[in-house]
Amino acid sequence: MKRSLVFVVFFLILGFALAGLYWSQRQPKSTPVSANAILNMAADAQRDLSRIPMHFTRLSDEQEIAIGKQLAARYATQTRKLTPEEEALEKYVTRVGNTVALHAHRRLPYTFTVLPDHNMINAFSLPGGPIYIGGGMLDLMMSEDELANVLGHELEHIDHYHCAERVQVEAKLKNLNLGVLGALLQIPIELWETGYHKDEEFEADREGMHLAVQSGYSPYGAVDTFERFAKLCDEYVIHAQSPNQEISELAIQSLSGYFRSHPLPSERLAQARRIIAEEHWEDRKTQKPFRVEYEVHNGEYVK
Amino acid sequence: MRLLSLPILGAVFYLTAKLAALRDDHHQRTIRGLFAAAGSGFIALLIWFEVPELWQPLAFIAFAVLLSEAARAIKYYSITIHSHALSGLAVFTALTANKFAPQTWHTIPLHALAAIPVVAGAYWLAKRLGTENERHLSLARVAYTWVAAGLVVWILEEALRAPWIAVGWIIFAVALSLSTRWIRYQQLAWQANVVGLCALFRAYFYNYDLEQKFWGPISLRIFTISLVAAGLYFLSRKAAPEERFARVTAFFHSFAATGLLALLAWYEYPNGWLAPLWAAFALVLAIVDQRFELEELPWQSHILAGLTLLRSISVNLYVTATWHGISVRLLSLAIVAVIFYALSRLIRMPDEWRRLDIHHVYSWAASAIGGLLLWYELQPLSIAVGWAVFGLVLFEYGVLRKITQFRYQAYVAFVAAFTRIFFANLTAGEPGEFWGPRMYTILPLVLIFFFVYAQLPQKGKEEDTGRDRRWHFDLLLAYLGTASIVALFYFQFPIEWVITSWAAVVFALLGAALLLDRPIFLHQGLLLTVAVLGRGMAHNLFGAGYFGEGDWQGRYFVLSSAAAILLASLFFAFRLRGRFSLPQNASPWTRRLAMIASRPEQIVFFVPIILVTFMLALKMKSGMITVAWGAEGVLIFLLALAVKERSFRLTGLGVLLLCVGKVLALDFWGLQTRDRWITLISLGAALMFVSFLYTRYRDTIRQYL
Repeated sequence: MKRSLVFVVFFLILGFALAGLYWSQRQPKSTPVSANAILNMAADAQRDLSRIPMHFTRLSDEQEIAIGKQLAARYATQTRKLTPEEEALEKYVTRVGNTVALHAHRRLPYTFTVLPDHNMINAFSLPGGPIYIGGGMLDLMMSEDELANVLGHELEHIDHYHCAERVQVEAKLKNLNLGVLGALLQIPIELWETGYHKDEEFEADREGMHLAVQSGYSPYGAVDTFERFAKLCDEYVIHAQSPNQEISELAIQSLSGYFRSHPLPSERLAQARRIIAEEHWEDRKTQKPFRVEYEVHNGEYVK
Repeated sequence: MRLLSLPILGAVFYLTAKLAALRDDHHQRTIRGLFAAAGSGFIALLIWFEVPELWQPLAFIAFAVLLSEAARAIKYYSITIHSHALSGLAVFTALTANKFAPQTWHTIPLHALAAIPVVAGAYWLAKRLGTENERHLSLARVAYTWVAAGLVVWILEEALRAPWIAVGWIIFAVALSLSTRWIRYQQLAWQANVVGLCALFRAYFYNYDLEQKFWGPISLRIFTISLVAAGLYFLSRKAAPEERFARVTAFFHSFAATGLLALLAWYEYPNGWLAPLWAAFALVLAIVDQRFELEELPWQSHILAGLTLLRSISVNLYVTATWHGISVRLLSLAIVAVIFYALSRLIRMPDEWRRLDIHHVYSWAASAIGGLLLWYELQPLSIAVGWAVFGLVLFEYGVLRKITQFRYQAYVAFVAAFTRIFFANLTAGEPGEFWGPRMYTILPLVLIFFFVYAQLPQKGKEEDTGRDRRWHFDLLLAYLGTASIVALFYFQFPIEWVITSWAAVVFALLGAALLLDRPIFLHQGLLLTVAVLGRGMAHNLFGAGYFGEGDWQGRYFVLSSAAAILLASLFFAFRLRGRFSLPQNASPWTRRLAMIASRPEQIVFFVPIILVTFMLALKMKSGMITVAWGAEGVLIFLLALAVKERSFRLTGLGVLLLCVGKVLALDFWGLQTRDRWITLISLGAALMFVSFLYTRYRDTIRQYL
């Protein structure tokens, strides 16, 4: 290249880069430093590669239901008996869940269970139909539509074989024969409480919203939930102020499980808004109140 | 009474001794010596008892000088011994006089003043001692000059105020070293060294604690220690007793002086400014060395620079103070970096080291500091851009000045910038935002990588940057550029659209390979084509949801658009066929890969065909798959005719045969009536069309097949 041309291009590129530098310096919100990009790509690749054999070795619905029942039995031994108030809450959750489940692709025996732990801001599902929701998550709910969207999300993890595929992957990794009684004991129960792959979470969000809307609920229930999650996430993520903090944060965030597998709430929120716009659901803003009906006798809750 | 009797007795004894000298035999000599000693003793007693305490040193030394001169005059050298004893008394009385009730003249204690004549006398005696014995004279000179020097050191210690003692001593040491040059007496040089050492210790143990101001902003510590250091620098050049000690002396005093000043800087500026001060000091030493070629100074520069680097990394990076609103970290480390670059140019080194680019340790250190400074000062999002810009500037300077190491530093900066985007930039911005921080921080990197790549010479053009090419930095940059844009698109576009965006990159890469005549872009294009296939199969086809999503806007359009772009890339791929020569003397694997790269149109054709074929198989309703494959086969065949490519034609025919096989093996038996009819009609039409083409263009087609 001629030197004069090199100089012209050099200064053009330098100007462009400095403009980028200026804009990025003026970003009002500090960017968290993490290995999420690499982890996301690795998780994507791992998920995509594991999905191909899944197509050819899929479990039958009967097998999946049987596995789900075994896993649910293990959960039943770990949770305490519900109070009458919590039982009423569970009844309410089941009613909403059954309404949403009517529109699922697969006809499976879906069940809905409340875990009476107010620190548990989570919901999860098991293969074949069992769905669990934590007390902490229910405490955050402001409307029935939010509950419907959350349950729709969990339901779609079952409906779209995410749970079944997880069993298959774990069985393959641990070399388990799923037909043998007790083989599932080797799969840690906490595995189901962690999230799924980013793509699967997006799919569950997307399809869960459709289920909720088909069942007469507002898609804004999902929007409200994700907004609340986004707020919590922002409080959770520590924005490093120096390279030293960056490195320590990097180590912590790479080890922590939650944000590795789940997409960021802001991304889920963006998808929810995009779907609302694409499906022209903007007018479905009215939400039903979160209302549990109880009977009280002598100052105590009863069924 | 004593005043009268003692001198009389002394005189009598001297007279007796003189008389005894008239008979010069062995016994007389002994008696004479005893008489002379008695005479000196009586006079000494007279001095001891009658002379006031403060005047005794003067009296004793004067008497000693008198005796020595007398010995010279009358050639009676025995009494010289008396001079030594009297000198000893003079020193003793000087050191002990008025010890417990010091009187002063102005601020100087009188006993210190009283010792001055002793010093003068000692030097007098060293010069004019009355003896014929050379060995005696030599030893006496050594002893008298050392005693005199010691006394001067003591006088200065007594007479001066505490902060100035070290200064007084170093001035005395300088005076001694200058005297050595005038009178050529080596003992003075040794004394200069010892006194200089005393000054050094005194300054080290006392003067660093001085806090009071001397003049304006200059503290007493700065002034006194600077004077001591200056004296030591002087001694380093002038205080060598012999030539063979010159190097040791120079190193010792010079290092001591530099150490004093470096420590002084520590005391005066214990914050963020110490590192630049040390760096500046190292630079000054290097400049002085350039001018005067002083062997020890470059070593001192190296040590100071090393300390500066340690200090910069361990302290300055964490300084949060500001100076007139500007970060002290920024200012101080920027100064250090600039000085280090200057040092890499100025510091004197053996030619062999220079040839090995050892002096560029400094430029590497400077660039490392610069890079770290950017890391600390910029927002997390800006750091990658900052490093890339820094690398660009280093590279251009390296090209302009033909400095290889600067370019190597630039490459490291580029790799760091590229790595950084995976930790901050790729996940930045709001979802759904197109022109966001991700774009405007990664696109400049891509431009910079390709711009730098474009400046590296092509094969055969041997320029200064030819070495970079031999180390494959050109390949590195080209891959960094492409990988950056591939990663950017991975995060920028919705997840299913990634393959379409990558297919567009393939198109651009093949176009670039053709226009710029650079095979690297062809290789990258082919690799990315394979990546498109892998991702398309694993993510878009087998990774897709189990239900629905087969609509026009979903997987069909995504995969079809990617396949269409890849097929459009055939325009470039055909022109690139066989364009680049196969490498000679390469390994079998390399040759095989080169063979594949020499037929790029094959990969660029088969990848989209595989994708589309699988898409049709997986996403269409089972009854429509055969129709779709039939249509695909016909289109492939037409394309093959248009581009006159045998493998394409065979592929088209293969797909059509696949249709026939599927119809016969599966479709015919399992389809609903409507689908069965549609399938048979479509297949029949397709086969008739091919048959028609075959009949009409039989010869041509035979030729093709």
